[in-house]
Amino acid sequence: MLEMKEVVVQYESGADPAVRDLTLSFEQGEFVCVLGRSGAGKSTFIRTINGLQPQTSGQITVLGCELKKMSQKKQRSMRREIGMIFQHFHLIPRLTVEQNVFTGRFGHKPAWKNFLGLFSDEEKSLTDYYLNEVGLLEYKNRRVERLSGGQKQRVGIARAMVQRPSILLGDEPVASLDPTTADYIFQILRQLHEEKELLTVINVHDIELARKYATRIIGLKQGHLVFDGSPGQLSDHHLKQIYE
Amino acid sequence: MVWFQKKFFIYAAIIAALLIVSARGADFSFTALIDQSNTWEFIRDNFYPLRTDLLPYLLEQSLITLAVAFFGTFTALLLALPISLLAAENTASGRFSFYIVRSVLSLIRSIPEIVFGLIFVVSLGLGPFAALMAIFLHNVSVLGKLIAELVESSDKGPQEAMSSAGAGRRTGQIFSILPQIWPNVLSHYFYRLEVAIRTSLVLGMIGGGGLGQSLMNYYNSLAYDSMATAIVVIMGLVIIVDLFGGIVRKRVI
Repeated sequence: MLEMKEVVVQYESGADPAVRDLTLSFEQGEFVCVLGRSGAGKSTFIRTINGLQPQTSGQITVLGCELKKMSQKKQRSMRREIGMIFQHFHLIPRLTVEQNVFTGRFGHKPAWKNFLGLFSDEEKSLTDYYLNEVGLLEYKNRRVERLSGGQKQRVGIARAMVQRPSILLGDEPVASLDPTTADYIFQILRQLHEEKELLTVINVHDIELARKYATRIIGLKQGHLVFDGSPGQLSDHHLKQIYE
Repeated sequence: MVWFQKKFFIYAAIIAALLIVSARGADFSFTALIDQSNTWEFIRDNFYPLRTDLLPYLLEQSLITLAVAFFGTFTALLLALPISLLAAENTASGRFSFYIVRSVLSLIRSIPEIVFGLIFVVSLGLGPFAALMAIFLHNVSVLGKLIAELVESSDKGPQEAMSSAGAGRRTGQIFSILPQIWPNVLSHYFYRLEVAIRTSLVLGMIGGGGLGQSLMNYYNSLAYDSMATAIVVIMGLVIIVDLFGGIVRKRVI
C-alpha cells in the first residue's frame, strides 16, 4: 500500500538530512506509531508520505503510484486518498465545525462547486456521520475557535475522514493535549482505523500510547530507522536506542 | 539605565537635528503658534451664524461625496483582494510576477490622488467621476498592499491542511486565508473609506464635485458662513462613517 525505498530528505543541500535511507513498506490494516526524539525526523517522515515535504532522493510509492513521477493533478487525487491530522489542528478559524469538515471534500469536486458551497446529500450525510462518530454532531454549527483542544482535534479527524481516505496520517496529533484527552483521541483513531480498514501512520511522543494502540512501532533517530517491530518487541534496550 | 543603551542617545541626537532642520524649512515660529488671535478672529467674525437654509443642499452634496468614496473604495477592495494574493510572497504565482505586481502597486501608490484627480478632471471632465477614478486607483494599490501583508502574516497551517486534502492551490488559499484575515481586511477597508471621504472633499476642490466643490466655491466667493456650514456637515459625515465602521467591525469580530 505504501512503499519507501532509500528515501532521503534534506532541507538544504549540504545540511544533515532529516531523513536518511529509509526503506519501509506498510500494508492496509496496520496502525503504525512513529517514535523518536524531537528532531529525529518523525514529522519530516510523515509529511514526505503525501508530498507535503518533497523527498530529496529515493522512491515513494503510494497506492501503486510513484510520488515523484506524479503530475500535480495526480498528486491531488493521491492526496484525496490520504487523510491527515495535525498537532495544531489547522482548522479554519471563524468557520463552523460543519463548514470545516466540508473542506475535507474540497479535493473531490471542481472549485466552483466548493465556492458556491454545493455539497451533495451524500456528502452532507457523510459529514453528519463522522461528526457523530467523533461525538460532535450537536456542535456542528459552533465556530471552531470556541472548542477545546480535544474537540478541535476531533473536528480535524472528521475532516480527514470525510475524504474517505485509505491512509490516515497524524503529525503529532496529541502533542498539545492532556493525557486523558490524548488517550480518548487515540481510542477514536483506533476505532475508525478498524471500521474503515485504514493504514494509519502517526507520530507520537508518548511511548505508552504507542504501546497501547499500535500494531507496529517504528523508531527513528537522527533520521535513521533504529526500530521496526510490534509493540511486544519494543524492549527497554530499544527505547534507549531511540531516545538516547 | 537598564533601558537606555548608548545608541539610543545617538538616535535621539539625530532626530533632534532633523527636527531643527525641518522647523527651519517649514518656517516654524513659536510666537505665531501661540498667538492664534488672527485665526480666532477670522472664525468669530465670519463663521456665525451658520446658514441652516443651505443644509438640504449640502446634505445632497454630501451624498455625492459619500457615493464617490464608497463606490471608489469598495470596487477597489473587490479588485485588491485577488491582487493581494498575487502580491503576497506566500501565495504569488512566481518570483517574477510577485515583483512585477508589487512594483506596479507601489508605482501607483506613489502618485498622490490629487495628481490622478487633476489628470482625470481634464480627461473625463469636471465632476464626481474624475474623483471616483482617482480614489479607485489609489485604493486598489493601497488595499492591495495592506491585504497582501495580512496574507503574508496569516497562519499557514490551514493552508497545509487544505492541500493535504487535495484541494486546488487557489481554492485552498482563499478558503484558508480569507476567513483568518477578514476582520483585519474590514478594519483596513473602513479606515480607507474614512480617508477616501476626506480625499473626495479635496478632489471636490479641484472640480470633482460634492461637498468639497461646494466648500471651495463658498471659499472663493468669500461666503465664509456657508463654508462653515459645509465644514459642520463634513464633520458630521466623517463621524457617522467612523461610528458605522466601528459597529460593523464589532459585529464581524
